[in-house]
Parts: sequence; C-alpha cells; structure tokens
Amino acid sequence: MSFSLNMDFQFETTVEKLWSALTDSGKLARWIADNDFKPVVGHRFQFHHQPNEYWDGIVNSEVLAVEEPHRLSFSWVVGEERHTVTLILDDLGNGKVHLRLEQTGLSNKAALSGARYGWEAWVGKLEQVLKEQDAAK
Amino acid sequence: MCEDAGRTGEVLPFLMRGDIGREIDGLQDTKKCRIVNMSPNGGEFRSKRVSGAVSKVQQRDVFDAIADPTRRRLIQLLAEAEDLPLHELAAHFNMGRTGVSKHLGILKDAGLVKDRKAGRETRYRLDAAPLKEVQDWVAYYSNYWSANMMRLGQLLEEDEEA
Repeated sequence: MSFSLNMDFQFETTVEKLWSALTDSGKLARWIADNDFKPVVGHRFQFHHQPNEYWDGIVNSEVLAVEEPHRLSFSWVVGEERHTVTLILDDLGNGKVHLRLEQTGLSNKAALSGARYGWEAWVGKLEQVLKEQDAAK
Repeated sequence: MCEDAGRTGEVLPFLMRGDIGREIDGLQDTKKCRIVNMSPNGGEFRSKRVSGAVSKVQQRDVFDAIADPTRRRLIQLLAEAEDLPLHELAAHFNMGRTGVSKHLGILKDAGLVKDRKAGRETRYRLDAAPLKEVQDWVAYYSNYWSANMMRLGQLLEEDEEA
C-alpha cells in the first residue's frame, strides 16, 4: 500500500520553456540537483544532493515516461523508499502554465493521509477565523 | 503558488520521524500499521528517537488518531464549525452515537478535540495544534518540492530576461 503527495504550482512562462526546464539536465541541476538526466524512457540517472550525516544525497532514478510537452515521469529511489515522481504541465493560456507534481509510492499511510486532511482542517479553520474577523468589523 | 519554503539548505527530504519501526497500537478498526524505516541509510535513525508526541496531556499518538477515515471526517466537520454536539456529528455517519462518541474519545486522547458541557449537551471543538507533528513529518517532502519550485520559478524568470 502506498500514498501520494500532490502539489500544484503555477508559473508565468510558456509550456515549452517549462518543459525545457524539466527535461534539460543543466536546468534540472539548477532547481533540483546535479544529475545525469536524459529525456529518454528507460534512461537510468541519479540526482546528487548535498550529502549529510544521514544520507549520501543520492536519488536513484529511471525515466518512465516522456510525453513532450505535457508529462514527465521518473522513479525516485532512496533507500527502501521507491517513489514515482510525475510532472504534468497544463497550458492555461495568457502566459501561465500549471504544473502538477505527484509523488507516489510513499510508504507511510498515516502521515500522508493525515497531512492531507490536516491541511483541509487548517484551511477550514483559517477560513472560519477570517469570516469571524470580517464579522467583527 | 510557490510559497516560501524557508531556507533550502535545511531541507532534508528523506529523513523522517524518529519513531521508526514502532508499532502503532490501539487502532480500533484499521490493521496495525508499522512505520517503516524511511531514513535512506538503514536503521541508524532508530537511536534518534525524537517523537515525544505522547505526553501526559496527549495520551495518544496523533498519527494513530488520524489513521481512521471516520476520525478524519470528524476533524473535517469540526474544522467547519465553532463547536458541535454529538447528535449533529453523528448525523453524518452510518453509525450510532456510541460509535461516533468512541472516535471522539480517541481524538480527545490525541489532543485534537476538546469538549465542554453546555447545558445538557456536550459540545466538541477542534484543536488542530497536534496535527503539526504530522505536518512536520510530511513537510520534508513538501518543503523539498516547494524550495525546488521556487528555484524553478527564478530560473524561468531569468530565461525570460535573457
């Protein structure tokens, strides 16, 4: 059983430029980490993060899907954790591009479902606080 | 969308909570689950217990409390209201008040729910503070990507200027 992290981002750029930033090894190095990535399905590569006391900094990956310019997927293996990272690009027009990040295969159910519901709860609470503030004015 | 993820240098995306290998007991209607070792280099993390989550006030691990869908739904319902009595909460579930009350008890033990007497009824409200522990756990991943995405945003801006 495994669980996912989903995050959404929006950039003011074109889908082609974003795709290039996601698939060019040099550009990837500037926003993730040094790597030997190639946008070729089956290519095995590594990300080299700054090592620390607990971790050699290496993520072992393999390219799983390259669908230019909309979808890129690669495996993400650190120790016993075997995840899949998928990046989905969606052109919103007006110079805006939506980027969805999915990281699946995370092994701790409780933490992730909890986090998701936790955030929902917090957002609900925050909205309530804001409403109350408005009402108090 | 790309919120400030803090100082990126501190992000350790793969180091997880300290209570690795610990069995979570007391799950009433889910199977026992085991937090697997998420440190990348084997079991060395075991000695570094940082949990301390179960204090005298908080008798139950928050991860345990949120492992159940009914309890997550209760948290959601309580997040949407100031406070609610049992019968209003129970109306949302296909189970009796006793069952819902048990779940509320578990949330209370985890410090997520506070109750107070209001006349003849008990009203329940959410205290989301203990969820911070859960957030801290998952924050390694979300901070990691948020920080990366911030850099990606900068890269794209530079592209634009170039």
